[in-house]
Amino acid sequence: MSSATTTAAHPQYEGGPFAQLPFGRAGMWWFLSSEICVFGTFMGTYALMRIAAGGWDAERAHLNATIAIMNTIVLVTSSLTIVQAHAAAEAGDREGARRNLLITVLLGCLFLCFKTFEYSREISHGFVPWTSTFWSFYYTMTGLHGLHVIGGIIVNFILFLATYRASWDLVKHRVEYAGLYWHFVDVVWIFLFPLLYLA
Amino acid sequence: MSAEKPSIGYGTIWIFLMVLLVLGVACLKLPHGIAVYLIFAVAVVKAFLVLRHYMHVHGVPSMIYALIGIPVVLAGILIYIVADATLDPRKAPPPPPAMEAHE
Repeated sequence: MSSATTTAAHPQYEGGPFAQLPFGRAGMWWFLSSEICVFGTFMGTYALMRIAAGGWDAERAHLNATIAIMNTIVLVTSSLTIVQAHAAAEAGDREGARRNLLITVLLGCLFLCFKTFEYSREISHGFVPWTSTFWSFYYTMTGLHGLHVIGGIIVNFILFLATYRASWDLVKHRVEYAGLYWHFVDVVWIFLFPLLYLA
Repeated sequence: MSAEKPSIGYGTIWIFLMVLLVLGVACLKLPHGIAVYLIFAVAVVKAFLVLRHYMHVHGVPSMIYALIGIPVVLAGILIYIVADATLDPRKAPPPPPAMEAHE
């Protein structure tokens, strides 16, 4: 645990199932738990519909796996930079945290650039969400994931700005919670990538 | 996440994740039936590495494990129930009655 003491910027549970757990971390895990339900339902439904429809191999052949592989590399690398931002924040290295947060934001933007290119390519070939059930699932799942990436970029950028002026104790814990969220976004992509592009 | 010094460096985990990405893509060369299982096995290992080493899901209160595990179990039950109805043609709803032609 980060700290065994409760501070104004870092309150934590004294007892019960979340004993010694900061409010922020417990809240973030509750939030991620609800997110597992959302993405789990989409992925499960997609898998079932795909099996029932015979695999959707013809539709899936139009997806560009190379762009998806590049996006996986980008997102996994951003997970590395956000965890390094947290480590730097815990060590009191304001400059290191700031640098890694900025790299994470830039990598998130790069992910969205690749995704936008991929979407434009598919739409130009006539594959839009209402073309078929497969494309409906594809745009819904990757679009929802993309919205989560946008949310993460905004939060990480706000934290990057906060490193210049906000109280350091406040910032370092927020970097931790933002990191948990960003890793979750990465884990979702780790499953979306094989589900849509490989298997 | 934790302030404790990680037993394995973050960079090392990143290299493992990249190697697993290559392995996952290389599985496409295998027969489809085996490849599907291997690809998802690789994805599970990658997710485990991120959870264990980047999200520091170890040594946390057991409630955190419950928060992660319960939605996964519920989703599994839901998928099993829906799969039974979706994939078994005998349980499919009857087709709608044919429309009568208008003269």
